[in-house]
Amino acid sequence: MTKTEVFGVVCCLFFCLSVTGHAQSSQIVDEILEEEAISYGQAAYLVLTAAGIVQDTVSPEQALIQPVVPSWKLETKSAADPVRLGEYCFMMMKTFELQGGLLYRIFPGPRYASRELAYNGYIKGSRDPGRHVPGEEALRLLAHVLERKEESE
Amino acid sequence: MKRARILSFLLSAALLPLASPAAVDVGGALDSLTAFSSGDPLLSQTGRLTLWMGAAVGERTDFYLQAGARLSTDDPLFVADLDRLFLKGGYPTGMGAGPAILKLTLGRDVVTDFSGLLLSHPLDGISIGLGYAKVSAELFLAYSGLVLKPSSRIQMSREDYRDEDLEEVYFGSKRLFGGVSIRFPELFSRQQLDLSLVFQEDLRPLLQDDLPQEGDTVEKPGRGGPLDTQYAGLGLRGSIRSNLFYDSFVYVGTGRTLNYIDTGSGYAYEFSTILSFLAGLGFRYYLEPILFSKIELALALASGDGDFSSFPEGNTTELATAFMPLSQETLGLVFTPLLSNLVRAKASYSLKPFSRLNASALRQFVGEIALLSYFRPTEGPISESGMDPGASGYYIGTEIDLSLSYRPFSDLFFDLSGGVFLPNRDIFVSGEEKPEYKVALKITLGF
Repeated sequence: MTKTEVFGVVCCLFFCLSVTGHAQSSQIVDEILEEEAISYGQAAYLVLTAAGIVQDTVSPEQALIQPVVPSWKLETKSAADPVRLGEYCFMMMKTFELQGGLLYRIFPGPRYASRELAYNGYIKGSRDPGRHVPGEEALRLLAHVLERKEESE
Repeated sequence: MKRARILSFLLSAALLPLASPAAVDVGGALDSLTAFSSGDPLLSQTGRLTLWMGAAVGERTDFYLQAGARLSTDDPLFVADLDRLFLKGGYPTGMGAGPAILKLTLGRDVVTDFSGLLLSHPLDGISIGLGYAKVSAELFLAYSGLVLKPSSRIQMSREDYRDEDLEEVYFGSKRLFGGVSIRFPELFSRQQLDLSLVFQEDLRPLLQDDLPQEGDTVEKPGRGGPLDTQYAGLGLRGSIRSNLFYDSFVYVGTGRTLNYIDTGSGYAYEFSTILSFLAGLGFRYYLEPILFSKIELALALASGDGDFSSFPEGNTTELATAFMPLSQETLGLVFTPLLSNLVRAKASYSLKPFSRLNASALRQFVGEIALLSYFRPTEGPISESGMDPGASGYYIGTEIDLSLSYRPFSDLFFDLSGGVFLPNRDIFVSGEEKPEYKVALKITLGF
């Protein structure tokens, strides 16, 4: 499956869910796509719905109160706070149980999670783990991670 | 519009101290190189620490700094230098007749020509690039004299080689570089065309007053004058089939060099004209179904001068035809001549022998074997010592290299390389005609 196809699948997934009457998920995805910097809640929503841990009917705020979230051990934030690239990468690495580099295994965290995804060519432009994540890029990163997960299984 | 972009770039430079801490990224790498060879020294160990920092300054400008420190059993024991230090920005210019994007770089960065064999070296200067959809152009002006001597691979003249042994010289060759390049990334049917003009001006005459001067009749052994060169290049590369790629290039080199030659009325230092060339052709064939195999064939030819009495600057006539690259590139593991008066033919095969295994870590294991044969197009000298000046013959020798590289993690890399060089005994002096070998283990950890 090509990267474009995976990205399309992710978008189609959200689109189909919206067509079947899940107007809330459609609205959330639309909002995410428009964002220049997605929020912590939106990031959790994307990752947890893609992993099937939560239903797409939940809100970003509700996604943050899921039992898996504390295991990320990220800095406590509100749902509206912007998420940083490293944090988003770490969410995906932890949720989808992806293997990282040597230093990620020794010091698991946002920094080396973003390094791993950058090494795989998933991150375009700045690799600074402290920068914000535009909505379109967030979906694209998620598509790459899903593809990698599929290949590893 | 262009003035506004340049002003924006300069403002970003002024605002650098105000860059947000959250926008700063840092990292580094640790390298260890252990080498065992037939030469001197027999065993060497080198460790290198590289640190880098990147920061966003403004919306479209980035600051980047990379420095390294090396500790080695070879001389010099310790070297620390700045690898890169620059501000770089890319500014869309919007629709209209102007370029789609304007790129500016100010500071120290690696400047490379399209072939990678003429110039690839950190220089301090400025570059301006204009990018359109179907063509891009870049102009640069830079100086090499601020790079520390141990870090410098620019050695073109006798004075450059002489500086190697002078402890009071701390910096590399002092030259002014400049050039313009134009690229058509998709000229036709996945073919890329590169055009390039590059020059270097030897600034040594401005900084030293003990150099030989034009007209001097007394020879200064081992000394030389200014060496200024210009190059015009053309390159074409692309795909022939989906798994077959090629690259080709040609450079014509011109310039002047001050040599002690017979002027007809006696020997004196006179400027000789340089007219030389460099050409190359290479093919890469990928066979993914066969353990991700790759077959590579490459030929590089640098003109020589049969009248050279020595290397470098051994010209004895009014015309010097030996090609001189701007920076030294490593052509092999054991035998590493300068690309001047040289023909190198390379054939290599690489594969990932464990690529079909389920264990993902072993899939990154790569093995490669390479055969490199060297010839000289003229019977003049090459950069390597040990050749019999009176020997005829064009075949220099052959090197066989084997490398095993393994990346178990994205940030940890191992490379074990070994090679043996078999010289042509007919052209090397006694004692230099024996095979040479080298084995090296490199370990890199990124953080």
